[in-house]
Amino acid sequence: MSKSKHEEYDAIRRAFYLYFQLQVLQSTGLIIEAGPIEYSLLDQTLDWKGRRYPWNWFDLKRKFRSIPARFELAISVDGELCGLIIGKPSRGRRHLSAYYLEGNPSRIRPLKSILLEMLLEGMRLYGDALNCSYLRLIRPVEGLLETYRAAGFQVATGKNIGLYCERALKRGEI
Amino acid sequence: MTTVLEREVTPKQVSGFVRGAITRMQKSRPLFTETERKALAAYDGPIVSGDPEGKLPDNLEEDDNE
Repeated sequence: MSKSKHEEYDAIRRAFYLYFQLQVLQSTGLIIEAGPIEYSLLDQTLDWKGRRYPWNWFDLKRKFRSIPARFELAISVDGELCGLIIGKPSRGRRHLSAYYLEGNPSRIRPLKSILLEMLLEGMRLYGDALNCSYLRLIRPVEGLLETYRAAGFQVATGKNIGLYCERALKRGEI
Repeated sequence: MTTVLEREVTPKQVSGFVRGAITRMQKSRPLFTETERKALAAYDGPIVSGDPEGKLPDNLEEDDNE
């Protein structure tokens, strides 16, 4: 992949982070920090207690780094990491997939009940930027399936990926 | 004595491809209805999606998740 392709997607992500922060501020009145998944932020995941899976986000970040169109979002409040999501679009831009998504497991984390919606709305914004038609969440924990169904996602199984949830993106007004 | 060369810095102009993505972001509207938002907010368990063992396909860039 050419250097200019990387630069173009870097520019799109930069605009995405700014625009997403602004949308969150407009819709909730909350000031959040939305940005790329930085190694400096990931140190905090090492102190998260009660994680469902001991994922190594340093490795995950490293594996996606060479993909120009990758989707990566870290949401923090006052420097405290609240949630992470990483993925990429399919080749034909049919769907944007979140391969990994994790919220800070602390009961007293900032953003508590609105974190999940916020991560998914971030995914929606980037998916629209890349002109994707669907959002896909790969292998959600079982406890989330009913919630995703209630939020308009369909649950399906893929040949290689196992269980996933998918939802069509509403197109913006033209 | 050293000579300091003056250099004018100009911001980069983004491509039409990037501008198109920004236009689509500007038109993008929230995904969830009020009922759907309430369903998401009511969830109280771990917010986690992904392979339990942290694996990724070898050909990640080509992977379409089928």
